[in-house]
Amino acid sequence: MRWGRGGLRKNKDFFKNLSLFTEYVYDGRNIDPLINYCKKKGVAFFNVRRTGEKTVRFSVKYRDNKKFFAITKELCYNNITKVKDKGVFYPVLYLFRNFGLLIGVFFFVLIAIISNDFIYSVEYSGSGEGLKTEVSEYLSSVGVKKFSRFSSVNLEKLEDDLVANIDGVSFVGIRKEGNVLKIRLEPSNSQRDLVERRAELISDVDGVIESVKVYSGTALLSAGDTVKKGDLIVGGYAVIKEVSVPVDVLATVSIIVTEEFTFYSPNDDDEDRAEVLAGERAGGAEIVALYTEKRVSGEEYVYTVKISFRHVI
Amino acid sequence: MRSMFSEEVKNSLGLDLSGFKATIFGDSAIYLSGVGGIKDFSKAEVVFYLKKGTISIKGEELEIKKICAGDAVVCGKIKTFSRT
Repeated sequence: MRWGRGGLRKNKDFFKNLSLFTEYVYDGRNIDPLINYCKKKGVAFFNVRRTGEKTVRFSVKYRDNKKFFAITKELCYNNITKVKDKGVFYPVLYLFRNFGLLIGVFFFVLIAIISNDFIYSVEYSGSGEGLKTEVSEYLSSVGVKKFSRFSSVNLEKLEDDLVANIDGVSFVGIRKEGNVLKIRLEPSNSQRDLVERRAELISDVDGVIESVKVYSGTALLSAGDTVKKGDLIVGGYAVIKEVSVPVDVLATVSIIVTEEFTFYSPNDDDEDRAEVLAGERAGGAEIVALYTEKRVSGEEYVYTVKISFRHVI
Repeated sequence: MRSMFSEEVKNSLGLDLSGFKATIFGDSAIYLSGVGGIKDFSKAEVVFYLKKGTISIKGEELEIKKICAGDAVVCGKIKTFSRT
């Protein structure tokens, strides 16, 4: 290393020049004249080493390749083979040599960045998911929908706006997950209480009551009672301090219904089919008991299926 | 400044500081300046031309790390270094 006037500048060039080389292999015994001639012409050789009896490997600065080729041609050195380009800046050289690849990589990165900014779908979760129709309409009105961009939406402000503008929403959580806009909705207490309210509960089938659960109202029948279609099971009132107060009925009643179905078939092994048909006739309700009887009538078989199923009001 | 120093040494001590110089780094590298071309080289010996005579470096796994203009760097396990 040399220091002094111009010395520092020379050192900078020295390191810069080390960054890109071309490695060659020479097959022959007369490498010395080539090296000496190149040295005189200002072409430096690096890492010169014998790898075999007649083989020598060496490197030349990438920028000297043109001069080196001219010299080898002049001196008729034909048995020199390029091995590879190497150095710290070789990847940059590779990219510039494969310009199409460079452009492809550039566009790939650009598309990846841009496509990540688009909303491909909106997903809802939480107890207030039932309010998604109203929320969806509001989002559309403010320009937040499929294929709009995340970068154009202030998620925090949108959360506040939804709480302020949608009735029945007490909390909104919005986050970006990939290209999906995830919205979590929690309803206010008034929404949680919203259930179907009735004035009284009347049976719509004939059967035997299995259970009566009353949350609001007065039970007039209990488990084990036989009930007919149209009978009043739970009244829409409550007796408070001997005073009858009208209330909305909130109750669940389970009734075991038993019916008979008759099927005719020419086959004598159609019990299973008869039971399936009976189950369908029962409206797909939960079957509690099933009993099948078969008898012959003329040239066909008569299947009588007695089916008990659970009917819930 | 360097040439002034060389001149001063030459005038006062009669020593010529231009010409061939060798700097040895342990037994693994040697830096030479003022050399001519390569006379011969192999893994065991590298011989350079000088203005007058030659310089021989002997050792094992010798490799010319760099040679350009009048400078050369030889690396490897250097055993002997002699001028003829």
